[in-house]
Amino acid sequence: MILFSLLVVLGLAVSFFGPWWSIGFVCFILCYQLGKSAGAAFRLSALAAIVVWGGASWVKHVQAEAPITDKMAGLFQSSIPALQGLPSLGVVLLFVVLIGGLLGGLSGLAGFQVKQLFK
Amino acid sequence: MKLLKHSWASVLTLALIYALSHSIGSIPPLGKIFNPFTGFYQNAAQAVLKDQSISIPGLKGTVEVLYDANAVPHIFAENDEDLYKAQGYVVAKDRLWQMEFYTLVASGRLTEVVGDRALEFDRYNRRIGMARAAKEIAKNLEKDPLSLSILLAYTAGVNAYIDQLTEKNLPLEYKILDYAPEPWSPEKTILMLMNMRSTLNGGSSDYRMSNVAGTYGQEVIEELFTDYPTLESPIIPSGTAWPFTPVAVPEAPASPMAPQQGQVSMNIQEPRPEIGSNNWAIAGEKSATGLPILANDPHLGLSLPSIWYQMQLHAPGVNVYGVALPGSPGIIIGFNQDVAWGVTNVGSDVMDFYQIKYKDATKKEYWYENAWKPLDLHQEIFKVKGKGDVIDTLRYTHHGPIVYDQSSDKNFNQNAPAGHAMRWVALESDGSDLLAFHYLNRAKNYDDYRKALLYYTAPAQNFIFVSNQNDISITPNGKLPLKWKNQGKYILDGSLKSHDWAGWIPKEQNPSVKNPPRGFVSSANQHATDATYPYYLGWRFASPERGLRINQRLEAMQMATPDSLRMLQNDNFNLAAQRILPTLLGILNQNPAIATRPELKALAQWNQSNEADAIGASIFETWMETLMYGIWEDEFSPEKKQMTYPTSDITFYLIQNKPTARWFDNAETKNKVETREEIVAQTFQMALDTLTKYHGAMENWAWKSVKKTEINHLVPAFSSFGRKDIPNGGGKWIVNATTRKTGPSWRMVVAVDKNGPQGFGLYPGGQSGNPASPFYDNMIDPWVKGELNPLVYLKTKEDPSSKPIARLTLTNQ
Repeated sequence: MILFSLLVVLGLAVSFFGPWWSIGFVCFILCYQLGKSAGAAFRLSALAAIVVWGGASWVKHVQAEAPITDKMAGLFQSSIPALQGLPSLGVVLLFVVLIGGLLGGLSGLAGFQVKQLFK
Repeated sequence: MKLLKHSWASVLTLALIYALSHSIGSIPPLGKIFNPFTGFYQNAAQAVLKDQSISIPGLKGTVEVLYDANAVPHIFAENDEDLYKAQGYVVAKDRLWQMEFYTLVASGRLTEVVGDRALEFDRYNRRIGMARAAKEIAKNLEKDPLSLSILLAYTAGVNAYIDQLTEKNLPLEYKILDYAPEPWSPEKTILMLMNMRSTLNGGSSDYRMSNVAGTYGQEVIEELFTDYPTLESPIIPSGTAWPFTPVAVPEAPASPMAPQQGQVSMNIQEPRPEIGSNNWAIAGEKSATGLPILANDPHLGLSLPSIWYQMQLHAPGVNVYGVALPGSPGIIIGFNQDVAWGVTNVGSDVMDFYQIKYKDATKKEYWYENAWKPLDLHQEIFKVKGKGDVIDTLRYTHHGPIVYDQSSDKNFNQNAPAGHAMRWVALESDGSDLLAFHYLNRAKNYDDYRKALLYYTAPAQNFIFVSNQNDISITPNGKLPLKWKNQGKYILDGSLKSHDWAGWIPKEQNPSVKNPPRGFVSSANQHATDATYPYYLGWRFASPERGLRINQRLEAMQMATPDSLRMLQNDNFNLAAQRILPTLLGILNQNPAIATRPELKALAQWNQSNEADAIGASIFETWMETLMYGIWEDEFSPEKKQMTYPTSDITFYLIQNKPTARWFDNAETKNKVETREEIVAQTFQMALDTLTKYHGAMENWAWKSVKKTEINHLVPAFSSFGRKDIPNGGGKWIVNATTRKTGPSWRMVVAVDKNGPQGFGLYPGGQSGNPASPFYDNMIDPWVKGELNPLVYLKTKEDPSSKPIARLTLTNQ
């Protein structure tokens, strides 16, 4: 739980300043230091990234003064038929969760693995 | 083994980061885009207007920018240089991506951002030589201190904005297409203007007319492709005296066209009749206030972001409000304390093609006045995103660039295919269009207006003008070639000096009228003058209906207010229907199979107005297309024969006055001669079939559903960034000239007054180019309804009517 809380707090903090993948960097470092198992490193990191990215997306969506979520979802819905039935916030969150989750999870796992390498 | 076991996730992570940081094909860089801290949601945060103070290096004083409730910036500067600098900054802040995009189009560099799908488009734009001309113009303007200081100030403003950009606040389109803005330069401003020259002057039907003349001869040209329509109300009213002694016009050579080498086929668009515009002004005697009122609505391709950007520019010696083109300094259409002005396209023939005979297949020399003359060769490199470079060679004759080589299979010359060189006014590199607007922005009276116009080169525009000294005027103006009659109606012979453009109409002899007795001036892209004007301008202009309708209504107008002019901008009356429909209905009523059809009844009962809900308008407009097709496709097919149809004016004239003309027969049916009556009935049925096929039962044929106006983002693939199915009326020959993709791109009405102007206006879009801004498309709905916003004209920055929603302060600290 400590690891998860740290992942969320530090992941959020670096995201404000760093490049788009910076939460991955946090997951890597923290799981290198505190990771207990490969599975936990992946799961906790993925979940933390999803919480940070998904939460921030939802806040921005609510605050937006124009329907930008619809426009962005529409870009993908027009070329990917499978997305056409989904509400636009759903489409956007789907990408956010997939990309954020994969980035966070893989980075956490990578951190844990690299530590094993040097054991 | 241990290494692999413990590092595969690291490798995968890096691969993932790399892949999602770049766009692949048409897939955007997904990681950057969907991260809510760097991606598109940041553009939503950027869209909120708030008070800001920004430092711009080199600013001489402090500049205050007040944003009004419609997000229109009102810029208050202490001198002209700061004013233009601030304009560059402010426009870039709202429209940077768009203005750079236009320059990429004009310079043939779209492949760098969208890949090889733009290669042919780029190749064409390079071949017509806009980038090279822009470079030359920018260089010439370096010798003109005022133009140079304007360009450099504007450039510095744009670059001050670019310099502050970070990954987060990059305009959304850059993020999606995965590239970054280059520094701005004076040359890019000229490229932006090149784009307008190309849009408004970039069409030609020369080669189509050569095919017509080659196939049917001059007799048919004189019957169907006349130099003046059967109905017309020219811009300069007939009877206006020409107050000058004309210069000598070059003598017409024996043949007006190059000898034909088989059918000519080129992929050059025809002049676009729907890219036209309206403007008019009434004199004080017709207005309620006793002073003139002016209206202007340029019709262009409708896009998001919009082509126009509203702003007010205030500095010592200038206080002007109107619309600017993103990327170009000054106000293009607008008003100040004393005067108002507007523009429509002249549409004279300023793009001509010359057939070029090469010495051999190396295409290094061409035949001119009985000698071989060398071509100038220039290598062009296209950087194609995701692919390697592509190289093309541009060849220049003394006429201009070779745009097209006739394909060898159609060509009789065994040595090398004939080339086609283009002489185009858009490549003229003298004059300073910028200064024309700089001086118009500061004009106080009629004399200032006339002086400002002399700086203007292209695209030639009908400059309309009013002043609070109760003057009204209109001047079809620009650099216009001095031609012999019909020079450039067909492909010219590039080997003869007598086919060259011999010179220019002296600018002060461009047609013009001041305070005509009828009490109004107007233009709708029709013929500039009647046949008494001593110079040849072109043979085909916009269809006469809009001009006729505007003049009818202005003739009748008394005690007019700005609202009277606004209502005329929204006039949907269909003069073509009024002209031809009685004849056509008379013919159909004789046809027992059709006379009882409910569709015919609907058409007969229609009030001949293209309202959004009118079913009759849909039937009429669809029918006019099938009618033109039915009469002309067999003889003048644009695709199969590379020709062009005669005008609707000639068509209507034939239907009403030459009922037995041979053209009504369908040449493709052997052993049968169709009559006018048969073609009218057949094409009516074709129109109904078309409507049924695409729209079902007649109750679904409302004009708005058939016309389907849409305003798309400049990148066609971004369909969700545009607006579809816009429910308004209008049409191509309607004063409210809204078609599927074109229409009034800015509507403005200005009443001048001694105490300051009253302006109204809007355009179908919004001030912000940011799709995440509420000001991205907020003016579309009122535009559809035909409303206009009152324009906030501030006399000082302390003006109590300003009520700014945000303030931007620019300083040099």
